[in-house]
Amino acid sequence: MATAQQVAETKQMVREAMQEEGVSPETLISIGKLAERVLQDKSLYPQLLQAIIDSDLAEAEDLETEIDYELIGVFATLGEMARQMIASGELGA
Amino acid sequence: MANWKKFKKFVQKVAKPVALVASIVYPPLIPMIGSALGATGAATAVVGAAALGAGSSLVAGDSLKEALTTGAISGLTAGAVQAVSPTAFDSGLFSGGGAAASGTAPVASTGVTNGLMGSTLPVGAGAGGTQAVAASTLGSTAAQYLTSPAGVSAATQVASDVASKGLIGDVLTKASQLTGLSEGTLGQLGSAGVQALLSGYAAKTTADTQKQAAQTAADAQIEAARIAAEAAKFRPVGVTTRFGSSNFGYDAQGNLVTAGYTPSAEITGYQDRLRALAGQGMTDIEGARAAYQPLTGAAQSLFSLGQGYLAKSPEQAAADYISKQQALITPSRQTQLAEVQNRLFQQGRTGAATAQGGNLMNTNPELAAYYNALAQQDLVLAAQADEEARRRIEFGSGLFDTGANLQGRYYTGQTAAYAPFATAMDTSAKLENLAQVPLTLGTAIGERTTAGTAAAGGLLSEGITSAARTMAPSNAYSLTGDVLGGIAQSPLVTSAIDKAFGVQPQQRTYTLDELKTIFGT
Repeated sequence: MATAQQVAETKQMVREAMQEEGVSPETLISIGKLAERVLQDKSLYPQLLQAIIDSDLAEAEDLETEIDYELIGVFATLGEMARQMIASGELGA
Repeated sequence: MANWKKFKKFVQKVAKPVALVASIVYPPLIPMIGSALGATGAATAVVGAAALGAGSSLVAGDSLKEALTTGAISGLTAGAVQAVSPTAFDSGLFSGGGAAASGTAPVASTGVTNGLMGSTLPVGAGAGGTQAVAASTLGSTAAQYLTSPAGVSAATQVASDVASKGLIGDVLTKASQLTGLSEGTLGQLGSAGVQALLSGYAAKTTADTQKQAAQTAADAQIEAARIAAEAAKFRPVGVTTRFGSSNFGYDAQGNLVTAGYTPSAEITGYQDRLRALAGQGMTDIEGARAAYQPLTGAAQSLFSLGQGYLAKSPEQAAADYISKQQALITPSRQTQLAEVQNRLFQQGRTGAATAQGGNLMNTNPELAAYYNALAQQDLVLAAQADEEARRRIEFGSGLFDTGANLQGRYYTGQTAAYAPFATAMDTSAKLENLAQVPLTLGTAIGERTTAGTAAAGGLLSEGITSAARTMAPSNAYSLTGDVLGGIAQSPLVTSAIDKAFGVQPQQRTYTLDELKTIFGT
């Protein structure tokens, strides 16, 4: 069961991964917002994939064009998580 | 579903853990996904959780598609869910309603009767297939079974099998037997959908159990705190003596709000009489100043008199004394001289003189004796004058002392006038102290008994709290074990799952009343 501790640990892990892999919170927030928009308009899914590619989070040939809600959910959650960590001071804006 | 292995390292590291906590970090997300998948109402949470939770339950980054290679249906969870129209979710799948869906939706001839979800499931669209599914309410037997520990355990096992093997023959059959759904219906939901539903139900069961256990522990702690607080309340003891009795008042909650004492009739009788004496004493105090006022006048007179005596020097005082004395004795001296001269004349010896020897001139013996006596008398007078001067000075000083004493008595008299009043009041206060003894005694005894009761209450409180803490794991234990997903904590998901199954989990727990019974409170 996901607990508050587990959430905190996950945030910590995300924060560390961002630092290690050079991913900025702005990138995650931007992709997260796009992921949320995809949930309202599926035609934006290619743009989401392109944003992921442009952010060097995946290669174009590795991504399938078929809409993937798990992918959308993960990136939307990452964006929200980045927003929360900035708001709480865990991450610098 | 996403194959996270194909993403860059960052995504590989964080994707699965993030998916696990998505429903907690971002609660609106799951219904948003469910809504995007075409579900509405309560169904959005379950569908969204199925889409997100199924993927997160995969291990080692394997895609759901790969996991379902051997499954009966190759459609993705999302696709399977998409196969069910929004109307179906609203009217039947999770709402439990019995009404059939709109007649505009074709009903599959292969529909399942006595299936899971209620009303008719119309034709779906998407990767999940086009087969129409008809489902009716979950049979009461299946529902009861799922709420039992064995049912929850079986659901957990089947969910695990679905995850590891896919919806293949015997797994599909078990899932169908367990849920009462036809294999066709389960096939429409897809492997991930069935797994998510069963896991979600099991997780929800555990979540409910843990919530119930936490509530029991919290209730026990509150009750323990209440007992401790009740025991720690100050409870003085009522005491009555010959001189009075203590009085304590409590509010409706048993809190001490007033404290006092009542003097005995004997004490109040004495105090009444003393009050009269005190009144008289006060009158005396008020009249003392006027009564002693003459002392002030007398003292001033003595001071003035004393100043008169001390105004002259000792020599002046002696001279004054001699003058006064000579004025007194001069007439007698003149008389004596006349008598001597007359006797000499009568004897015919006036002018007669005789030798006195030495260098002394001749003189009349009677006159010589007379004047020698005067000289001797003057010497004595001079000696007395010095002594008299000292005596006058001492007398003048004595007048000052006397005046000062009188002035002092003016004040001491007034101060002493307070004594009767003060004595009456002091005595009355001492009587009051005697009347207060019961209050003091009752408070002191109460302090000791309250301390003891509070300690006992604290021990009992600690016992209940410890017991609640000890029993919490047992209370929180669920047969669903580690089949817990983050989605189980989402109120939207749990509400939807409850709605879907229409039942509450049953788990042996220790209630607050049982704890109280154990501890005899």
